[in-house]
Amino acid sequence: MSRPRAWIAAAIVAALAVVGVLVGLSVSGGSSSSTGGDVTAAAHKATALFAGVPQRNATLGRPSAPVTLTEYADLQCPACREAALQRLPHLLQRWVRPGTVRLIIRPLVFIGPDSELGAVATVAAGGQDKAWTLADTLYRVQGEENSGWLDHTVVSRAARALGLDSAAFAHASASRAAESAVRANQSAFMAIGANATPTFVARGPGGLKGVEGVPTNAGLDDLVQRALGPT
Amino acid sequence: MTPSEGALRRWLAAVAVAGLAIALYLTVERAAGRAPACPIGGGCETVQSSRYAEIAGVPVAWLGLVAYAALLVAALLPGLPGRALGLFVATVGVGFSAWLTYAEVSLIHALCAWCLASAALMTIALVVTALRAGAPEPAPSLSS
Repeated sequence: MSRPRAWIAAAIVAALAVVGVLVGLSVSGGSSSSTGGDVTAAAHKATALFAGVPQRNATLGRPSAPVTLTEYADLQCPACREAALQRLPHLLQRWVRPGTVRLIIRPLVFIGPDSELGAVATVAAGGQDKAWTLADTLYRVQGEENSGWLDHTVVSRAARALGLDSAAFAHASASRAAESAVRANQSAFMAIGANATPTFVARGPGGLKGVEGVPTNAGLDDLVQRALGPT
Repeated sequence: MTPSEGALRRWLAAVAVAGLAIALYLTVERAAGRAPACPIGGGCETVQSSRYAEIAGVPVAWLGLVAYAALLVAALLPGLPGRALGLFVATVGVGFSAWLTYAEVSLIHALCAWCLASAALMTIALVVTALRAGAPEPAPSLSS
């Protein structure tokens, strides 16, 4: 008979307690960002990202750019957040700032009912030429899908932090025009047969090319180059 | 036939070094703001940019560094302290890896090969440390 090894039980119990704490922190870390996180800091980062790039309505970049890259996005979708945080900086530097590509965001409802609020808010911010900045701000404080993080509070805090005209923004958000813009995006998304967000569609002299999901930087470069056509 | 204490400690050290390599790689890539190379599946960026990649502001990759360093210490420490530390750290590692894997599958909807590899290493570490906990205590010896 080996003597009882009390330390084994002690080590396992202590370990399970630590796991409990870690998982608790991991979950609550999620919900603290789901109550808006640091919207102001997110707004500053988003503003810095787009500094010096022209925005007009839903369009980002030089209006005369030969290639138009349209992104169908849902602000609740984690892959769209990934595209915004990981891919957009590359697109901006390589294609948008030099004037080759202009980006258009077409927000829609894909994940769930809360997505409507984000989509409408993005359209409304477009009325003040900050659609991309608002979307980027909200991605940075994105919570779990359909957890309720995307609410009026986070949207209006983001709008305020970006210096939008609150009254005009609220008015535009509640407008039928914004709602029908989102519906139009939805219809266009269906019409091209897309069934994932984000979906990117590039249009240029080389034709029309699309890709679903989050491409790699090289994949996006390829998309743009094919839309550019032979040079 | 249970492997000897010495063999188990060498295995634990090997697992710890492999885990340290993964955690170090992910920490460096994260600090540099780069996406990790993602050999299988391609979900690494999604996972690493998700909010589950940090806990209370601390990147999970750092936790991995600490855990594998502690496992290495446990492998180097002879006797009860090494056994207890190893079992404790490996149990925490497996428990937390199980949560993270659940989060990848059910909450983030993306799998990251590096994270799964780390979860597998932690599982091996738990098996090794459990065997070591059950192995007969080595006779005290004067040589190291």
